Amino acid sequence: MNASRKIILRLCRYRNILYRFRQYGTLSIFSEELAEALSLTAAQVRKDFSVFKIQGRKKAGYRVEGLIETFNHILEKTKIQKTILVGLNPLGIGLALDSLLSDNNIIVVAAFGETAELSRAHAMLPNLQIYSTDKLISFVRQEKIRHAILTVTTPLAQRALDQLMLAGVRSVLSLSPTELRVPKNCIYNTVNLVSEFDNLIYFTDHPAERKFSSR
Amino acid sequence: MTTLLVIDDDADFTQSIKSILVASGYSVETALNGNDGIRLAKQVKPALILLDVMMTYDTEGLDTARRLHEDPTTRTIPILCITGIHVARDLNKPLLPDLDWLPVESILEKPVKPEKLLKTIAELLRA
Repeated sequence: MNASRKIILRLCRYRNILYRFRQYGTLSIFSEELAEALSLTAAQVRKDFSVFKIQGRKKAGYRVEGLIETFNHILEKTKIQKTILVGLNPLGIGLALDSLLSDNNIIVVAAFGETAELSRAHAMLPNLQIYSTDKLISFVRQEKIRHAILTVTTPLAQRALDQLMLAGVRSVLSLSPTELRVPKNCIYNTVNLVSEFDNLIYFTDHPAERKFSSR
Repeated sequence: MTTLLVIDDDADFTQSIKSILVASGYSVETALNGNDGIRLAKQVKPALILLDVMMTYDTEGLDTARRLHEDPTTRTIPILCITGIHVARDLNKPLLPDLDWLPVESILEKPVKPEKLLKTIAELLRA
């Protein structure tokens, strides 16, 4: 099996839309229906499914419940995933306040920030363990944390990432706009909100240049 | 005479390393933090830099190695990282050279035996 980042992202989208189909009482679904709901091609859906050896039934399509179970298993959604948040700026605090992560079995067990950020964070997130970043390495080692979310937007983002790497964190989701140096063995995904918005602006102003491709 | 630069905030360690290296025929410059080390590296153009990791902050050595590697006047100088961070921070994974993240030629763990240090330096200078 050779799953790319794009396939895994599509798997998350399949899973989300299948929950909606299930909510409407749909028991079986064809690749064409999934494709239409997600603006993909049916061939793309079948190709993605074949990577994970998911087979449909002739003239009956795929069982919705079976697909949900399979995707939850592949994406390890049946387990609670512990993560830490590094960056107690408004972006980080907002993320910790929202139930988006916890609703999806991703639990922020502690958050770390600079000394100046701590008192506000304690007040806004009274139920979360809040520490200074100088406790980062020892916490990660003690709690065996494997994943982290980085929202530090200052030049200190690299220092925070370095501490995570030294401590043994294996994967990082960065929302920092800073270009960071990442070791080869780290699984690193970054979402630069400003770049993403710049991308929207560009294609809004140059609609003819937009290429339609599988998302 | 071959000049080496030692960048380490531990003055005792720096002096003891300097004694060993001088006795082995090297000329040695020392700096107690990354900024001073980079400034000295540009001035004296050492044949090799011995660099600590934990200095003013835990990861200062990583920043220093990257800045040396990014600067065209210092990027070709080989760096030997000598660190005690594993014991100090109870780390379970060895630090490995990584072109982008930790651009150094080799890494030794403190405490380092003089013979091992001199052998590694000689190998790096030959490379």
